[in-house]
Amino acid sequence: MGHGILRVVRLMALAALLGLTQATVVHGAGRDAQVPAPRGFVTDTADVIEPPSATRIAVIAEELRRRTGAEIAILTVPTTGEESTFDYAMRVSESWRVGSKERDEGVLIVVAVGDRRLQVLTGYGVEGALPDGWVGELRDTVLGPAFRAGRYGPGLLAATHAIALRIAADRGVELSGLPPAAAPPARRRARGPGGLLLILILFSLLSPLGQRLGGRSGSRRPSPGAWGGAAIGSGFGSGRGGFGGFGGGTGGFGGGSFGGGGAGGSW
Amino acid sequence: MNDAERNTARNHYSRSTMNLGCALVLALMASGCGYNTMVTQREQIEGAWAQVENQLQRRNDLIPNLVEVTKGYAKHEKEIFESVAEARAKLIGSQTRGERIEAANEVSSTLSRLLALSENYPDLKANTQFARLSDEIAGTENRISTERRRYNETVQTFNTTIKQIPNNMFAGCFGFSPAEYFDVPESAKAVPQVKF
Repeated sequence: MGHGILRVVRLMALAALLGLTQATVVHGAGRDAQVPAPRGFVTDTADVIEPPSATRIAVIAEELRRRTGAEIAILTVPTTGEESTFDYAMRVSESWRVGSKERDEGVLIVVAVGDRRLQVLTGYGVEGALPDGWVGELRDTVLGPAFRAGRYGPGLLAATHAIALRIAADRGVELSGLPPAAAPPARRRARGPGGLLLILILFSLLSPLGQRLGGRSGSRRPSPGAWGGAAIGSGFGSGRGGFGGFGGGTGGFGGGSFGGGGAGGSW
Repeated sequence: MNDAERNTARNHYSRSTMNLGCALVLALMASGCGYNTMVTQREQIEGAWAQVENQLQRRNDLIPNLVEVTKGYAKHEKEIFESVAEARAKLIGSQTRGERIEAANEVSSTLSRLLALSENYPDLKANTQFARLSDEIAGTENRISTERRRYNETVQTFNTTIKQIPNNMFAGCFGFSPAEYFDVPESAKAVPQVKF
């Protein structure tokens, strides 16, 4: 009799355990290439973009974000491994969350240099301004030819410029266009360490405030203390310039979502 | 107020208390057995499916243009045009979710055959209108696969919930049955490759 009850209890425990394991099995686990943390508008882990191009891309992206709220991010990797460039780019977009949370105006360009493949992803909010056909044309006429010649930086710069102009035109905003290379860093240097210090102090005052107000990415990934490291590490330390103004969190972007739109292919 | 009236009033009072008690007990039971969770998760499935439907619709709208352009260069590929038209019509006519999933997969595989035609017809490949339409179709295929993945995630969450103890004991009597995954057969998985 007592044995019988014990057996029932044991069976129930087993069933509960089975239920638990069932719940933890996840569809399609097993990931290959890692998603790096963004180092600003340009995250060049494959090391193919020369600093002047990276700086100019950042200047354009910065102005675009300031004027329209839309964000452009570029990532180069040596390879995406077994995963398709598209699937990898989607994972990056879900981790970085480029574009504002409210309007999803983000563009992500992923270049897998060793695979000779690229993927441009458009966030939900810019699908109207950047139809897939237009992005495909950009790939055929701008990115592809440049990449085939090994000119990654200039190709990405021209593409960033075209994308920024198109989004700005869609919003009825006029961008100042391409400023002369390396102008903003020079200006910053001219300001001297005092200016830099002032910016840092302003940063330290404003960032936690933004976080508390639930601004930008701060509310999504609350990591007290992370803002300082993120801002300094990506904005000032790297020397690639122009990644200031991020409220907090480790992502740096606004929290935008992507639905898979855009264009990609191999070159 | 006479005795009879007082009695009726008391009866009313006790009856409403009883009703309230019943409602409370039911509510507690319902929340205790995960009813609300199951309802919420089923709503999420429907929301995710609506996104899938949007993209299927978008693709179906693009097909006639693509076929039109392709026909100008590859008149003789009647069989492919017919199978695309058939699959498209089947998707429009399908009712149940299972039917729609099956028809959507059929559209995918016939479309990739249609796009592959450009390999045999250099003039078609060089046509910019065809190139742009192919990009639109490829982008939409990617959107479908993204929304399909998100849909499947909601299905998995829900199906797991209704199998868990104690939900599994109540799911049946509340009419919750496992939702259907949007599975893609290996043969239809080949996303049209764009080479440039």
